[in-house]
Amino acid sequence: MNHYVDGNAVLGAFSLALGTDLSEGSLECAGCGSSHAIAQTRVYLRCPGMVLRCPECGGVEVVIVEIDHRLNVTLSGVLALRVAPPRASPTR
Amino acid sequence: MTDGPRLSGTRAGGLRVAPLVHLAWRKAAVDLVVEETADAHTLVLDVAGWPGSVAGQHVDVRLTAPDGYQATRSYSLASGPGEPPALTVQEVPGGEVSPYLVRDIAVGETVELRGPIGGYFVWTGARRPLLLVGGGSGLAPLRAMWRAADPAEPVVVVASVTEPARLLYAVELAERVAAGNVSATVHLSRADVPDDAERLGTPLQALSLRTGRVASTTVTQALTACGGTEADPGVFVCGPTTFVEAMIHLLAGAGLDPRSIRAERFG
Amino acid sequence: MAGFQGRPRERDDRMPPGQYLTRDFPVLTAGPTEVLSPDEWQLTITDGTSTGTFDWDGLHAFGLETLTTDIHCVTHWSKLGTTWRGVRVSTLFDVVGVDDLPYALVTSYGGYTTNLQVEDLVERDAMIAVEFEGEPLEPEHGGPARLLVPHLYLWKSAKWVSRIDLVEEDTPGFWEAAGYHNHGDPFLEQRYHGD
Ligand SMILES: [Zn+2]
Repeated sequence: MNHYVDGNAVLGAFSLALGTDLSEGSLECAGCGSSHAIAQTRVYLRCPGMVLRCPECGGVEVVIVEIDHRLNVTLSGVLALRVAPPRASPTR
Repeated sequence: MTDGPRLSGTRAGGLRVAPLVHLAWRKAAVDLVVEETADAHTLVLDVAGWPGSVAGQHVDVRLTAPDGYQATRSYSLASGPGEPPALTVQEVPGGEVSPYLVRDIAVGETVELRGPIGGYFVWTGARRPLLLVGGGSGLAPLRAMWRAADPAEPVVVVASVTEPARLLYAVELAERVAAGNVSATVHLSRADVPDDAERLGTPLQALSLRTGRVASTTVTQALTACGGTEADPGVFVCGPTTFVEAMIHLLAGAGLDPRSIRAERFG
Repeated sequence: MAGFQGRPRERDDRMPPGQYLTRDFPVLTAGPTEVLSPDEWQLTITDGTSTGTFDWDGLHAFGLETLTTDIHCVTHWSKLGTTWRGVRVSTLFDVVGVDDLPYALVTSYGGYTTNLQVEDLVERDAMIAVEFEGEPLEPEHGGPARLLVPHLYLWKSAKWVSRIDLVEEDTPGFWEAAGYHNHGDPFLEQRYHGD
């Protein structure tokens, strides 16, 4: 069952939270090491926050929670966050 | 797509971070409502200082109830780069936001908007020609792309809708097909193709209609029309998650490197 | 024109502050729905010394108890008078003979976690629920078996529960680490860290 949308849905909030435009940003997953655009992550919104999961391994990369109009970002499953697109295709 | 972070050196030296003005909430007044289908309306908005957009970008829309309750949703921009922002909202039965935006909101009323947002599912003109594959209201950001394309440029559109009455932008597609730069194939997943007499005098006359879900033959023909896989066309797929997955599968089956496909999924 | 109202927000005296009544049962999930058959499901309870594992039949051997209760989600909806069937967590703790440790970390199939005080699991109505409104619990709602701790916000009621670790030190779970309250009492509106 697919309850996710893609990362475009959270680029606004995520950019706002980090104070930089992440439109072309990429993440390196701590779980599997793959690199991908933030736009490619699988985003779960029907929950108490926004959960970004790795498109390769499904692991949680980022959790964003809005608390009193502030955005709390947890990057627990991220090895690297780049403000640019992923450089090369990952070797898996 | 640019290659590095949005940090740039100034002549005086040092780093400058581009200000994020466009991520603040701004008032957007409804300037025009276009009834695309019985339950999908395009809202053309008037936003002071709208910076323009790149085809494929989206905006966040925020609504506030009198008691302070707020709801935020993301919508793709259906407007071309130099146009005022336009959103096509498909009513989701039982939804909280879309019925209001389709049924209730009137010209002159305001919502809050932030954006444009997005740098992945965008067409900057770098890869051409364009192959645009849309399911249902997934056509919205694709309209922004065909509007962004040079009129001399071929654009191949593959659309999937349940029945003809649910096709967004039918008149515009028909006009572009008649003008010669767009070719459009429309699959009707839950309806038969209406006969010629029924289509006479309607926009459907200009469109190539097929019954059933988008088939591999349609995808192969569309790719060929774009010059084949070696031509490295700009391929954009947008629609419900299951539709997008199916289309990526078909495109990959037709020989396209899945990594070259830009996809946007919703719901 | 009335302007945007949002979904009708009904109130009821039994409801905690800031909550609205819902009649349907919204599906909230931070990841893919786990689809497990009862045969595949198991629950392990351990304090590091004593360990017990219950499979579907093992759980049902205790007999199912019926509980009618209100449930409250931190996303502001409440549902009143829901009926569940399951086995009390305290019964399972007694059988395993887990020691008197103060905290529990609950883990689900799929990796979700949430932390609770053991007293919240044993002193009130907490159960391992397998039926909702007379039907087997649907996968979207945490079936075949979920934790139900009705006096706390529903994120504490882990779906597809697979493991309960009783521990000496409190460790924040998935939402707790992201900024949600450690305890999550809806009547005290303990939504976020610091509330
Ligand atoms: Zn991964």
